[in-house]
Amino acid sequence: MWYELGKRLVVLALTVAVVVAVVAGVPIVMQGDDDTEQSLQNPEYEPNDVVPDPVEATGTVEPNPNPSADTTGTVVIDSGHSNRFSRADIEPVVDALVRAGYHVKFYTSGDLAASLEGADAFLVIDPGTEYLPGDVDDVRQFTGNGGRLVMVGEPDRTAISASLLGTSIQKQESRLTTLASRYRMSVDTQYLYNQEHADGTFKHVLARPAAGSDIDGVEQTAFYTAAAVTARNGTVLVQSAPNTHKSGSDAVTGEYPVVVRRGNALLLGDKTFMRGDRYRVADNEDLIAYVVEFMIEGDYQAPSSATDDSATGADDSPTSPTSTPAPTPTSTPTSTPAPTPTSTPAPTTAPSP
Amino acid sequence: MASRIRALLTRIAQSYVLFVVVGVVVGLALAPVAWNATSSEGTVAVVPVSGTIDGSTSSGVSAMLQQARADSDVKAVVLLVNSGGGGAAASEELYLQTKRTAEDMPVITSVDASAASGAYYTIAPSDHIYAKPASTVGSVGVLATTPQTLEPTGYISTTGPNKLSGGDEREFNYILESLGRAFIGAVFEQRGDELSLSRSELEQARIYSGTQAVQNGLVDSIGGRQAAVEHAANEANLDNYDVRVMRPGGTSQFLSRSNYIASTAPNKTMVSPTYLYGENPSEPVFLMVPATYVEPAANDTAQTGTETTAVDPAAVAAPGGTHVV
Repeated sequence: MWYELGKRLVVLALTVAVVVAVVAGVPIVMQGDDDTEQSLQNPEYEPNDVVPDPVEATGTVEPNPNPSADTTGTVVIDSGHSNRFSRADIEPVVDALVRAGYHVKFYTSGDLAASLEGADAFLVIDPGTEYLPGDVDDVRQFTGNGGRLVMVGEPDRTAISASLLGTSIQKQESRLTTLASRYRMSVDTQYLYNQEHADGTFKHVLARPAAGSDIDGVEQTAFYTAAAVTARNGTVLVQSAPNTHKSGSDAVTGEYPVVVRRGNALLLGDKTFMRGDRYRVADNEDLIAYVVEFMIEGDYQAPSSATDDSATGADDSPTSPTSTPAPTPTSTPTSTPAPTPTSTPAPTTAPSP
Repeated sequence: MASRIRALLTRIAQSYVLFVVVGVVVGLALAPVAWNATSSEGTVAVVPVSGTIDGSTSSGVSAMLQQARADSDVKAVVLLVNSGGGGAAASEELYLQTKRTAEDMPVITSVDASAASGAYYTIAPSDHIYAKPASTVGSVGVLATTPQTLEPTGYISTTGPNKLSGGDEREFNYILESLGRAFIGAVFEQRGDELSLSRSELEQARIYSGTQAVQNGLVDSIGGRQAAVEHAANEANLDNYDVRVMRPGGTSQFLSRSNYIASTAPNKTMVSPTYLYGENPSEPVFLMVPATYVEPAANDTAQTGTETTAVDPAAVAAPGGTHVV
C-alpha cells in the first residue's frame, strides 16, 4: 500500500515540476521577443543631423570712424513718435557712442529742428506714429546740411498686451512712411524668413553684405524678424541669405535688402539685431560698429538762413553737399534690386494658413 | 412492467446509437467554435487613435499595439485616426510604437476627420494611409510658449543663471528647432519616397485636405475604414479573417469641434486649449497640434478700436508669443 502511495506522490511531484517548468519557460521565450523589439533603430533621430549648429555669438562693437570725424559730438534718438524700443535695444549702440566720446540725448517733443541743432546724427527707431510734414522738413534740413539719419523699421507684427480689460492682441506697424519716403526709401510690411539660413528659427534670418558693400568685417549677420527695405538709387549694404521668403509669398524666394544707404540716410529693417542679448551674434557687432561710424562721421553744419530751401527741398539729392568725408555711396543704376524671384516648386496646396 | 423498463434501459445503454446521437448533438454545439478556429486565418486589429494625444492616450494606444504584437492571432493592424495631435513627447511615443508595430506586421491607417501634427507623426510609419476628401492632414511642426526672462530676481534663488528659464529665448529656439527637425526627419524617413513636398515645403506646416494630401504624398489614397481593413488583410495574406476593435479605455478629449463630431468614440468630450498649456503659462510646453487648435476665438469679443481684439487671456501664450517650428 505504501508503495502504491509513493508512486502516486512521485507522479504528483513530476506533474508540479513540469507545470512550473512550462510556466517559467514562457517568459523566457517572450523575453527573447522583447530583445528583438529593443533592437529598433532610429536613424532619423541621429543627433548630428537633428541638432542645429548654433551661430557663434562673440565679439565687441569697435567702431573705427574716419580719422577726420569729430572726436566728440551728439546723437539724438527719437522718442517723440511713440517709438517702440527699450534700453536693451539701444544699449550696445549707446555704449559704443559713449566710448567714442559722443553724447546721446532723446527728442521727446517740441521743435525737432532745435533738438537737432548741433547734433551729428538722428536715430529713429520703430516709430508708432507718422512724422508730420514739419518734422520731415526739419530732418531733411538736418541731413541736407551734413547730419546723418539712421532709420530702423520693423515689419508689421502682432503684440500681446495685458490690461485690466484682459489680454489683447494688437497689430504694430513701423510708421516710417512719410519720413523714409522723402529719402526715396521704404520699409516692407511683410517679415522675412529663411528655413535654411537662420539663427535657430526661420524668422531669425541670416544676412550678408551685398556686392559693393563697404562694411568692414561683416561676413554674416543675424536679423530677428526683419523687413525688407528699399532705397531708390541707393546702395544695398546687407541682404538676406539666398532662399529667403517674404511672409505671404511662400513660393517666391530671393535675397532681400535689409540695410540700405542713400546719401546721409541709412535704413535698417530690424531693431533686434542690436539688442543687448543679440548684438554679438554672427558679425552683428561689426554691423553695429558701421552704424555707429555712420553716425559719428556726420558733420552737421548749421545753414545760413538763406540756404534753407535748397537744403530741405532737394528730395532727390542723394549725397550730402558738405565735405564730410563720408564714403560715397555707389549708386546702383536701378532702384534697390528687387530680389530675383526664384520659382520654387509650387505648393500643391492651397489653403492659405 | 418494471422489468421491461429495466431491460429497455439496459438495451439502450448497450447500444451505440445513443452515444452516436449524443456525440452528434455535442459536436453540432461545438461546430461554430471549430469552424471559427479553422476558417479564420487571423485577425485584423483596429486600434482607434482618438482625440488629443496626451500621456493617457499614448499609453492606451501603446498598450493596444503591444497587445496586438503579442497576440499571434493578430496579423495586421489598422490605425483609425481622428486627432489633431497633442503633446510632443506623447506623439513621439506613439510614432515609435507605430514604427515598431509596422516592423512586425502590416499597419494600415484610415484617417477620419483629421491626422494633423502629432497625429500625423503617429501614423507616418504606416504601410499605407487612407484619408477621405474632407480629412485634414499635415501641420508637421512643433509649437511652444516661449520661456519668460525672469533673471535677475531676488524672489527665487537658484544655483545657476539658467535654472529659472532653462536658457534664453535664442537658445530656446534652437531647442525647438531640434524637435522640429526630428519630426521632419522622421516623416521623411518614413515617407520620403512618397512625398513630393520638399523638406522646406513640409516645414511650412500647412494643413492639407485629403485629396491634396494624396497629391503631395502625405497620404496614399482616398478611402474609408473598410478599405483600410481590407487592405490590411490583403497585406497580411488573409482570405478569411476576423476584425477586432482594440479601443483604449478612457474618454477621448477633443480640441477641434470637427474632430469631435466625426468621432465614434463611445466616451468623448471637448476640452479647452488651456488643457495643453495651462491657465498661466510660465514654462515651455512643447505641442504638436495645429496652431489653430490653440488659438483663441478672437472674434467672440471684439473691443473698441480697429486694431485691437480681445482674447481669452488663458489662450494667449507667454509675452514672447508662441513659437512655431
